[in-house]
Amino acid sequence: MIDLGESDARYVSSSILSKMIKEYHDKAKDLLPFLKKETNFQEISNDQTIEKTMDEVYRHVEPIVINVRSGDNQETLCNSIVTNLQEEGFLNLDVEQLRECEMKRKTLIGLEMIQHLHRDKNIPASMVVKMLNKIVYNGQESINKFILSNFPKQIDQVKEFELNCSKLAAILYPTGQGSTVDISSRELQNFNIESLFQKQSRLKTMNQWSSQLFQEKLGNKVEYGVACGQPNSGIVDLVKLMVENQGYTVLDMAKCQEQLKASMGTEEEPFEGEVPVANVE
Amino acid sequence: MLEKMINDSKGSGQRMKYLFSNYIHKTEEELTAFLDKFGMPEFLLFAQAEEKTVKERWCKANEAEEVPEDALENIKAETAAFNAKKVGLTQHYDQFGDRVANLCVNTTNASSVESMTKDLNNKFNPKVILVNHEKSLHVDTACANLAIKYNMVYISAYQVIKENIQNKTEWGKKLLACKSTKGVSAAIQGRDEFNEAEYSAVHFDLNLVMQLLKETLGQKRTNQKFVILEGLCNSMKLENSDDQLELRYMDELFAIEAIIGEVAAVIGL
Repeated sequence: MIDLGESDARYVSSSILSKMIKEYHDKAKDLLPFLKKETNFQEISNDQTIEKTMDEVYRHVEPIVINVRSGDNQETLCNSIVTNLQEEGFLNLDVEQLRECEMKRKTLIGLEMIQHLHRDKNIPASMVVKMLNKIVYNGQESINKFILSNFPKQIDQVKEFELNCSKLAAILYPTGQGSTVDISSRELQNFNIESLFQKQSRLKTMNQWSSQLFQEKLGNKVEYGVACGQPNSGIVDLVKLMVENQGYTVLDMAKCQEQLKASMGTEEEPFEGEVPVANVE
Repeated sequence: MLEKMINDSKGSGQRMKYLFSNYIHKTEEELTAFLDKFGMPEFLLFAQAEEKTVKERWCKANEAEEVPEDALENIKAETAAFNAKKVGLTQHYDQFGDRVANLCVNTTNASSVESMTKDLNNKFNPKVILVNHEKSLHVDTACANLAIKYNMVYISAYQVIKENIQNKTEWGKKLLACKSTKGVSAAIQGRDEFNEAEYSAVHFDLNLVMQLLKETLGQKRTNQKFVILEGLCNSMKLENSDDQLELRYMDELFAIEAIIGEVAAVIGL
């Protein structure tokens, strides 16, 4: 919630605000079903801090950009991940190839790059990000999932990309089948992109490709467990402890069925039949 | 009903964890067909007790001296039904190997809620590797790289506190409200790139810090069994001996074990 003082230009008194809210609800009554049906309508709860609300908004409108690195000497798995991601609708942006194309086509950014190459052998990250920015924010709703290849290679490049283009959703780091990830080629004290992303929990190791695993790594996963026990086995206490100590929300199917049953009848005429399992589901 | 509830919470950005219980499906196949819509479960949790214990509990609940014949038959039928459910579910999820944990809690010897809580915590909480180091040693990068190598979560207490205070989160506001700045020894004030002197856990309410770390861990942890925890149990860095006595190592250690997880190792550098 934003607190605005009466002196603020955006301040609206409570009575006017109530009228505005009522007007919104009156008008939205017909509009919302239409929007839900015809558009990519997303409902966002703003009954939370403004930061959380905006985070939710960004999650819906920002493109998904993923960087796949060759990781633990796993070139084959890396290529397989890229191919599979492309099949899932991701567009692979190979920065080296894109750079060559821009220069070959002599686009504005391409010419800028050519001019820069006369002075310096390296193209600065800002120029690459400028090029990527146009592709990532292309305006086409259906093209909003990208893989970044051959960029970024250094932390400065990550910072430049995240500051002036988009946040990297994750770095996918292919690993071998062993229980440890081989980082022996790098010094333990070497702070690099992997270390940075590990600290921010955005480094996702993968030892095989699976679409489900990929979704899980991105956090698009319903975390759940199944509890089972006969009466008097202590299952009730166990479930209670899972809620209190481990933060689980209980979905008691039998209780849901009872609730549905109660809602289907009235006090005078309670519903007598059995509520179908499909309704509970 | 349940599917809608779960899907509605997906977009909220809040990490939700569900526990399905008391299922009403006639067969395990029907249940798993429904659950498969949400991907595979993290675990199957079975509560098991010996027949004698079940009978004792029945008598206690029904205020009876002994279990009558018809109730005994009922208990036997329930045991058989439970065993069949257990086999059915276990067999279905066996194909996914380690990705679905099969957890069995024997409540026969659970003498108290505390012992059952401990058993559950051992099963669900990560093991903690506590890193305590001289200020002159910079372990941040090494810890992050070790976390990559051994699939662990790395959490630095003062970095988490700093992030929450600087981003003015709800946790940050709570922390600031209970902050009581203590003098820290000169050794800690040298090269201090993460402002440890200002954001060290020693300045804040211990229980609040632990709860914050627990929540942070919950957000960061996926399948990791260990967490590298840095920036705790360092009350010796306090300047004043009274402050040192007030915040003792053991208090912090017990709080870590009670709230976050069992301390499996302490690394002193």
